[in-house]
Amino acid sequence: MISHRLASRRTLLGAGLSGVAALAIRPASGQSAGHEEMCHAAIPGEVRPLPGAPRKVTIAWNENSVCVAAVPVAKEKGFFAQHNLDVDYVNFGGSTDQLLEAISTGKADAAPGMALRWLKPLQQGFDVKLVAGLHAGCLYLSVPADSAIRQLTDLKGKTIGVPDIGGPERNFFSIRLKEAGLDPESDVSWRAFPTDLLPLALQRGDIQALSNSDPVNWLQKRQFSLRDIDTNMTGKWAHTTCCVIGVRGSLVRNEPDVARAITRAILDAGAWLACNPVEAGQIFHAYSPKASADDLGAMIRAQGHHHQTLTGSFRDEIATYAEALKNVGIFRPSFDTARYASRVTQDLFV
Amino acid sequence: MSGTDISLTDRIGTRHPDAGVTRRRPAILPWLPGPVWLADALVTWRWPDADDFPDTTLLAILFAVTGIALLTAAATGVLTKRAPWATALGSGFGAWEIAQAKLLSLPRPFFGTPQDLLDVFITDWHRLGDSLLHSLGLLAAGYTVGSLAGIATGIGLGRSKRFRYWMHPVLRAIGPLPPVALLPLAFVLIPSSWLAGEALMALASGFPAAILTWSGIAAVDPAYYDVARTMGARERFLTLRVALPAAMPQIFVGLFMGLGASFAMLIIAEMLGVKAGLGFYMQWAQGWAAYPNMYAALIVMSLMCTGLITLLFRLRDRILVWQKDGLKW
Repeated sequence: MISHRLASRRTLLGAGLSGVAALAIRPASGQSAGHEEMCHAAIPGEVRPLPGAPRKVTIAWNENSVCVAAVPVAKEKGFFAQHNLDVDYVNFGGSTDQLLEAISTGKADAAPGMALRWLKPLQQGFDVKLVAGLHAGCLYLSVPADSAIRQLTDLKGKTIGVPDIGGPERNFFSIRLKEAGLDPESDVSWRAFPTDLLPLALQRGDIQALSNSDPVNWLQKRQFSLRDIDTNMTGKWAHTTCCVIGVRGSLVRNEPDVARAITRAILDAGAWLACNPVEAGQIFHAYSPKASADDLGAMIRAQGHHHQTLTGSFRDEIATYAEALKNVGIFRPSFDTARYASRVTQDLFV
Repeated sequence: MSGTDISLTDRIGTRHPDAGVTRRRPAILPWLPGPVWLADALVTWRWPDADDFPDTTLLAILFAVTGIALLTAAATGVLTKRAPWATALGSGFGAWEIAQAKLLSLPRPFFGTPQDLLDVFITDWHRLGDSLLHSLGLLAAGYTVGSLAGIATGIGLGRSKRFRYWMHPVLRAIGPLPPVALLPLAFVLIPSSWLAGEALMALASGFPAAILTWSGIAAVDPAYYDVARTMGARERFLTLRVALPAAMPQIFVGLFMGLGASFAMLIIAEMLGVKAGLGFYMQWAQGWAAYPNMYAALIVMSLMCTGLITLLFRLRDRILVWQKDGLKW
């Protein structure tokens, strides 16, 4: 689902584009001024900087994931400064679940994270509100290029390697396997390996497919000649948010203006990123020296960074995820997904 | 240390008949824990929970049963020395129950309630037990192989110059590395992930065993060898009957350190595609923020580690009867 506001701006432009078409016409270099209008975030209106001295905020993030490149971009390209925010970063490399702990214990004010990583732990009652969807698509399920596995249904009886047994990779492809008619618990088995060892486990036959995220996945695909059989840029999931922005609950309650400024700055950076993948790749290269800036740009282009959601449509997406997680047994069958979605999300821009 | 212990008991013993105060105190203390646990039960049962928690009634029953058992123990005179601990535990559980289940004063979800923890053991005991068995299996194989190899290496280092010449630099280079750093290498070199995990466990436990065996052998009084030699002992006898027994106290320190290292290594080894295990279970629980499950796994793990260390020290006390209590646990 494309955000309502984004869609209406497109109508104003007279382009009348569907989301898929928008993806197709996204410029390769993305640096041309003609598309500037599309490079604005889902939030309309003038930027009103916070009054007084620059407000210090701390953003926690996982610098191993290129899909949250909007975070360094927001600082580098001055999106935070526009809002009079002085941002400090805390890196939680590789352990996205700790971001939630960091926010809810007040060590950070906000963080980007993956919806499928956070929805289950959020059920435990962290004081964190999800305020916006940042982008779609950054999960891949890969097999060796010469593998007989062509589609999800071929995975019956096979073992899938994931970096984390409770992570978003397993959650998402469980959902996809269920959609394909397999039981993600009994028809396939899941094994956890450290990220860099997953291709080796694949080569020696411990696992028959692996799931990973960029930039690691991109590089491994090339180095070990892997082929994607599924990603979350397929079907309706291509238009469902993948990474979300979480903000400390007490910040939302006590200083909604600061929460709004942080969210908008990150979304602005995300929209800029969608139109300037090459330059964004160069900025992110500082955090991911193993991948070249060009590769990082290509990864960013492959992800759905034009997709941002807020308010109602964002809540619907969270409910969709919760419903899907319920279908694969991660939430109990009696779980009220609509109520849950409205409990963990927050409308900052109404 | 033991000398002062004796003199202390002597003093209390001599004062006991005529000092009435010392006689009355042990009479009251054993009766204290029972009522404390019964009070816990009452609070748990009657004070309504602040939120929807599972198994509150069951927890109250367990508290009550413990309380009655403690009262019985006091009546039969079994409960004497452990009474202060039983009281402290009871008060601790009571404070926890009131602070979290009744008042919700600790930050959630990081702190669960006693009934949350109980619920994990009731609903998830099967997976926890399975994880415990898997971890024990991994630990037993890796630790046994590692310790034996470590002791053998230590003997070699202590008794053979040529072995020492070649082995010492290798040991110095590899030993102090955190075995975690060798994870990718072990995984590439060893064809099976299970074996790779076991090899890392063995390395973690073998290094301290090797170093301390060697140190122990090096510290053996040369006079022992001379005496044995004059009585016609050959190298084999000198190693197995003189050097090894004399180095035994040090070897056990090495085994103890190795056990600690392999507990830490267990978590790493369980990242390598295992199906179950306590480290695996903890990682899963943390990913889902299922903190009560995590604490339950921690409790099981702590019991397992304590149990194994106790077992090791029992073995030590049996082998080194002459040096009982030389090492404190």
